[in-house]
Amino acid sequence: MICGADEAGRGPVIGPMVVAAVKVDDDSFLREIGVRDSKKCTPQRRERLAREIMENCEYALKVVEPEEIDRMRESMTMNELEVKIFADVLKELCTDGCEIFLDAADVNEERFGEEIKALLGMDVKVVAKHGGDDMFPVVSAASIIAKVRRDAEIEEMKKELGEIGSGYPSDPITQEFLRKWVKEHGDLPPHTRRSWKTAKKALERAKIKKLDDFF
Amino acid sequence: MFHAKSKLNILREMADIIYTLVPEARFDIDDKGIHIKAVDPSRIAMIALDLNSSAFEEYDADDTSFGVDMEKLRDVLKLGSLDADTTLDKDEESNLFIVKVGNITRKMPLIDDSNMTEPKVPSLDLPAKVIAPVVEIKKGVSAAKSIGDNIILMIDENGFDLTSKSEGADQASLHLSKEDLIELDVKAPAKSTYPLDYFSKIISTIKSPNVTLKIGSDYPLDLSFDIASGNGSVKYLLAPRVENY
Repeated sequence: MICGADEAGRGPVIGPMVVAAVKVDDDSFLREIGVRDSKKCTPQRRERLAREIMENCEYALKVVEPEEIDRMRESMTMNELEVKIFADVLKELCTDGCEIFLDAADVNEERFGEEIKALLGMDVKVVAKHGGDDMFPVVSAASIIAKVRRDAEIEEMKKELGEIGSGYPSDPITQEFLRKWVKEHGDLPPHTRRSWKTAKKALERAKIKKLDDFF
Repeated sequence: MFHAKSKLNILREMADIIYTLVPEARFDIDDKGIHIKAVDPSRIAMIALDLNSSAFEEYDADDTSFGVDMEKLRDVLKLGSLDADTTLDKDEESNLFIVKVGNITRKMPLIDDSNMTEPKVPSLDLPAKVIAPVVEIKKGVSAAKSIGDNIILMIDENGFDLTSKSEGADQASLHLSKEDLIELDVKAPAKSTYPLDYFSKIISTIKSPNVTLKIGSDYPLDLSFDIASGNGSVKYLLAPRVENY
């Protein structure tokens, strides 16, 4: 049995992080439906791929809400948080004898894999690689369903909050949305990761006055 | 024409102060001295500096104004000891600003000051004022440094407080009672929050022993001190941080 896991939404200041895992006997089905091209395809194709994966493979998903991220960040780093959530999700699918593949995006490859293996406490083989979502179809599949789920969450959020952009701190639409919201409401919007530097800065900036305001 | 000569420390002090705010500044020169007014690009702080002709050993000036690259000026002013003879000259023919520090001569182009409008420095009627020893304020700033980004200044009949709070339980404060202060003048008590980085930068340039702080609740800070051993003065205005509800 092989498992793959990946996340979507680690970096954004708004919205949840989604971790997904997919389990298959072998990855021939996934290769057939073309999961490896997921980064280049349209959102519609990605949604179709996600449906096919979920209908044909065992999978597990965890949506980590911003409030939970904030709470966990009080006692652990973002890397530790990811390791824990990955392990939680993989525990739902994996058993002794599984071969687990991971995308080690921002972290030390080996350490990431070892830490997850330690938390799983199972007799499994863990292979974590930078670019794993391109190398291993089972990771691509997990990446697809994580991304599609996160996109759906963001769409729901837009109904509530308006145009928030991608939610990433570097996105000028997201920055402007935060700035405006804080100015109008006096606080950060719901679904914001308050522990994020960007969020704290948006609050700080709202308090900033210019000398022109006084003369 | 403009020619002035003094010891290096006088000009170094002036350059350091202006550079805390802006990389270029307009020098307005007349027979009374050098006058510089500048606002930082974010418009959060403003400086008005007067360096009187009495601070100089030689001073000869017609009314003139020109822009100066403060970074270039500071760089050349680092090239001598504090008592080095330093001269400033405006060369009309070549349109150059010439700075001599000991045996080093630095020529630099005058900056076209037609875009550098002279900011109006308003007078604010602020209800609470202290004159405090600079060494104490510097201590307060040091204590505040690792705590947070802002400081809260408070003046009432009990004296002066400078407080810094973190989001957690960390906090640091300086208290100066009436006895610790050179002057305490409270028409009404006041309390206001200011950005620590701006405050710290200007405080670190002060060589004179005392600083005057005037505040009003949620109003700009009016901070003033002498320079050039009393032959000059600086007035610094800093916008407050205000809860925006």
